[in-house]
Amino acid sequence: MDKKHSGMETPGTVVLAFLLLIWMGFLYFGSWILLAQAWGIR
Amino acid sequence: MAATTLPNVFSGTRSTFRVCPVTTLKVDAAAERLIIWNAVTAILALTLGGTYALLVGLTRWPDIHLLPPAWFYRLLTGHGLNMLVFWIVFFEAAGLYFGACVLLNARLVGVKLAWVAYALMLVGAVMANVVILMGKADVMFSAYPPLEADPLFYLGYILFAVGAILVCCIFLATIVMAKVERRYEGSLPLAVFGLLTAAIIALFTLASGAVALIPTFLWRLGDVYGLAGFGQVDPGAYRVTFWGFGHAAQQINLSAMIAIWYSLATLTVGAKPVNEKLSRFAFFLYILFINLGSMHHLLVDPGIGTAAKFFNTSYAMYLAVLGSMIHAFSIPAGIETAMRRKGFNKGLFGWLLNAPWKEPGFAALMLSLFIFGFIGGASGVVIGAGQLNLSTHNTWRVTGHFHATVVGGTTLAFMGFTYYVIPLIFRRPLFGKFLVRWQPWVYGIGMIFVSISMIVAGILGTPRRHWDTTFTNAVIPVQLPSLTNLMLTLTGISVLIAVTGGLMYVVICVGSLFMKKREARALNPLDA
Repeated sequence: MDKKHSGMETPGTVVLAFLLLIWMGFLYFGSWILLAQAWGIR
Repeated sequence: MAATTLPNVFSGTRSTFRVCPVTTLKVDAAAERLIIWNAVTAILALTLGGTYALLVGLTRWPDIHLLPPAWFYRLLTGHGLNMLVFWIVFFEAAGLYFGACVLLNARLVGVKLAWVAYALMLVGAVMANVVILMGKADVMFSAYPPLEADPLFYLGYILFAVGAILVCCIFLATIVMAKVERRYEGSLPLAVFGLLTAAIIALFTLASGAVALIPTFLWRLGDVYGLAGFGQVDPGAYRVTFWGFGHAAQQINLSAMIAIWYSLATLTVGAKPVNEKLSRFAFFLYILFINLGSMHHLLVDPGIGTAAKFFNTSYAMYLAVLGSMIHAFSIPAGIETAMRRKGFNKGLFGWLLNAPWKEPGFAALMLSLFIFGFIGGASGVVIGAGQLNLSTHNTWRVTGHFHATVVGGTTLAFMGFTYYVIPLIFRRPLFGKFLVRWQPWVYGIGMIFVSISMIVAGILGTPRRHWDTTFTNAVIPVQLPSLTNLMLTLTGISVLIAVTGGLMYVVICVGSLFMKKREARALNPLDA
């Protein structure tokens, strides 16, 4: 196993999982912001 | 060709199996025939649905606007039914027989019944298609009352569903007998467990479909033939029971797709799930929570209380999503572990860059994972929330979401898997290997742009199932932002790319059927 990493077996996949979570958060909150604008909520 | 016989427990006879030279699995001849017939029928349904997709896509492209209104709704109904129901369920039937018989080295239980099931599904599909083309069922695949279709449309739907239920029962009987006759050691393999999940969900799904469709069929029968006492169908009640069928049917596709993801990961890089118990638990979450989560189709329905809506979509549905999150981690993690063990240890993503991207199964797997995860699943979770749904319901945002999941996800994974089934089960080399390498990419990239442009068009307000979104001659004029026109055009162009990918797949499959039959020589379909 590559010792340069933190000891995780699948560091690449962990990074991809975080990317997915960040992306989903962006979609979710972006949608809420659009909805609030449409409803005139400031 | 190596063959072997094994004793059957109750009948005292022996079943003949051929032994696959590549995988050493024992293949039951009856199961093999059924896999072939169901898969070929699936591809015929895909071809028909894909042709309608092209025509419908060229109609929603505003500058082309190909079809007249009646034909648009007609072929949209045909597109939905052929793709969402017939293509996918025929392929899943082939997958169930494959999982129960080939992966478990077992014999198929109830061969005659399996052919009866196939006949019912075929008759139902043909009946529905003919009635649609005759113009007697312009009601969309969801067929909401009080929209009226010819009784034969509903009968076709029902016959298909009965056939599908029989396939699930045969699958269950086969895996029980595989255990009794000790055809495999230990627990069910994970892929078969995933297919079992699909079959269990299918049973209550199709029951819900029967509750929705049988009264509707009887209502139309009474209307058309002037028979009294066949009653009316309450539109709200129909919607509840139809989506009990409709969404859970998608979860069947999801379970089957994930079973195929695990299989493709194993076939291409030798990946094993990092924690098999957790993966099985994730499949189990689907069974428990999907029917509650199906409420997201009913969020704007007036007859259902807000407590039910919000509990089911903001709590219960997320437990089904948790299952998907577990698989979304488990499969790439399995691939990464397998690749690192092979020595591809460089940096964070050396395992990914050095993976066998040239192998069509791997490309299909990764594209399917990416499209389903980042585009389809993520957008679905967002639009399934109650408040957001108020602004997304009936817009093209919903259409973009489910094209990412069902087409970019499930269909692409099924296509990748076909490239293994053809050399190993059909026992014919692939036709057009130069096409095979590129097909997942053309289809996947086409569908990425189809989905994204549909979603953006939907955010801007474009309605779904709508022939003319410029609202020409509308009594109350509606002006959508001009960016919508660009998005609709981009969707049209992307549809052309995706349909090309679909055509490549059909050409490969049909061409392969005419190649000379021979045993597979390797696992990689390009070398087989």
